[in-house]
Amino acid sequence: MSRSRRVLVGLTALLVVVAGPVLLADPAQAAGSSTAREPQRAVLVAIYAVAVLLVAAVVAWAAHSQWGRRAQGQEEER
Amino acid sequence: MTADLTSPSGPELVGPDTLDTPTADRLEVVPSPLDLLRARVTGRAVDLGVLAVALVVGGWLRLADLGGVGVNSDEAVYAGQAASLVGNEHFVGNFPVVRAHPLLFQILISPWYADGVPDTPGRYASALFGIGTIALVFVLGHLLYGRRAGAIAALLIAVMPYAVVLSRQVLLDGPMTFFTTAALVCLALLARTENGRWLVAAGALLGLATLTKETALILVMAVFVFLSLVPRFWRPKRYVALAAAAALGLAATYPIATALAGGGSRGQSYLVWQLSRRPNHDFLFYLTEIPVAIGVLTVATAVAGLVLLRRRSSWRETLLLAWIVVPFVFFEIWPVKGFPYLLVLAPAVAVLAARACAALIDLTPRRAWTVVGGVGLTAALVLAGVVPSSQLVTDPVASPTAGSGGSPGGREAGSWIDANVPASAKVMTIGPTMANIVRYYSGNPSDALSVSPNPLHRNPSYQPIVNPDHAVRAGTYRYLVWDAYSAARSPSFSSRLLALVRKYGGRVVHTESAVFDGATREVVVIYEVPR
Repeated sequence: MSRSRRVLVGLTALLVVVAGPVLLADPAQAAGSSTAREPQRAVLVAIYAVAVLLVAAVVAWAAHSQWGRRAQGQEEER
Repeated sequence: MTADLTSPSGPELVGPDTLDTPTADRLEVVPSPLDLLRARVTGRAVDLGVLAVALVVGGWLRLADLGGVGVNSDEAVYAGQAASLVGNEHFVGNFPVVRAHPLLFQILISPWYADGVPDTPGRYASALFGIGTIALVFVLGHLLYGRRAGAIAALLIAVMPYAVVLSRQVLLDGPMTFFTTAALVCLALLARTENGRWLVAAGALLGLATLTKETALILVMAVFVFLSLVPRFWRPKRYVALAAAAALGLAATYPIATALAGGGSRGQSYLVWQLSRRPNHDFLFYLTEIPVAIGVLTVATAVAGLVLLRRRSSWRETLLLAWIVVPFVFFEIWPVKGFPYLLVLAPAVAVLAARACAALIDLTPRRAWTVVGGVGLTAALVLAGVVPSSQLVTDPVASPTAGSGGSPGGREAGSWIDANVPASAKVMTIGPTMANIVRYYSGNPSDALSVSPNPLHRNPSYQPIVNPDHAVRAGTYRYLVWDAYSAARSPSFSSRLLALVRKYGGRVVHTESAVFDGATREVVVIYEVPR
């Protein structure tokens, strides 16, 4: 696939992802939204905490593999 | 394949590490004073000293006197959300948890908003993210162009007025930029090491940035553009797929968490409102405001470096330019233009400017004038940034930097209402800016005249005053607050509020004065309308 095609396909996919929730949203709900009930705070905090831990794990995974590669490289040089 | 972080692939400038290495030639000659000077300039200690100065000066610019002025409207919303999250009774009724943006930063600062009416903990948290960004910019510059460029880049971002002013406020853009810069570092590591796991880490960090503020999702496009223009990083494809899944999956956490917690309809309403807002600035807004906030000289140096060093161009410039151009073009086209939206590109601009400075200092063959010229250019860039940034600390109200100053007098007016007005009394203001500040400091319900009755043209958090005349006559609003800031933006609504005051015999019960438009004047006036 050429570069320009890759860019086009990628951007189109992203636009679909961004536009999807908008298409699903119901503008009529906007009128009465301010009276919507308060969300369960504990659920929100727990989900965000899991997301942060997940990212920390991914970064640690990448860093660990990098250290492993460097150690392996030093081994081979010896 | 093994990879070493200290041996970049592709065309490379002469790095300071190389210059530090003593060679046989150098050992044979007696060093002249100029050689000694060069050795000092190229030394590791100098570079790390510059980094230390960047952290100290950047820390002072971000942390000094953070409580000098009360919160502004946006800060009131985010801090109010944080307080509502921990159930602070002063805020729960006035600041719904689910509003226009994700909640990662609000959750992080919420423990400090459990009691009372604090207005600085969020600013300290934002400032710490700003200081963290300085450190990340050093790492980024070091990875791309060597230690010296990293240290200069850290110094430039440390004193950059754009970064300083936004790091001193309870805003989402500073923490978001910290995470996007971390993602950029991961992309640099990907390119340096060709270890695809860094791409996944970059995707995850972009997801985290999106959970701080959803606009960070735009940078996924920048990653796509970078990968498309440097196609060797497309493989192995499993890492690209994992990175996309990490970024988009984490971004999807925002609507999913909101829906699971019972705030789905409100979240959708905000999304619809954000996407249907009318343009608030013209096409030239970013072209005129952002270069000034970043530093015209810094931008010019970055561009000059790109032009003059074009023969050394590699994936490094492609990465940084993708990081700059994609969000810039997107928000230039996007009708709603916020001053902080482009903070994410500031680290890339700082690194490009630092690259030019470092290249001049390390130019081969070395001449005294190139070293002096490079150091002088760096000093000029720092001076051009540190002067306006210092003014943000010492005299924010008089500072010409956009986004500074806040609303002096707002905190005092809100506190006065808290102490002297019944807690249930509703307050009418000209616009939502002062309404948010009054809500924040007083805890009283507050509505703004300028809020549109059309639900598609207003922030879903705000209740419109459909018939202000009737509302005042019926006693729904007994306290009307006029403020100079809203009046300057909306003279017609200011006139309407003052007409209501006159019509119903309102009397002044409190005023606050501050410097506004270059003169000390009344900036907030509270009227009481008799029953």
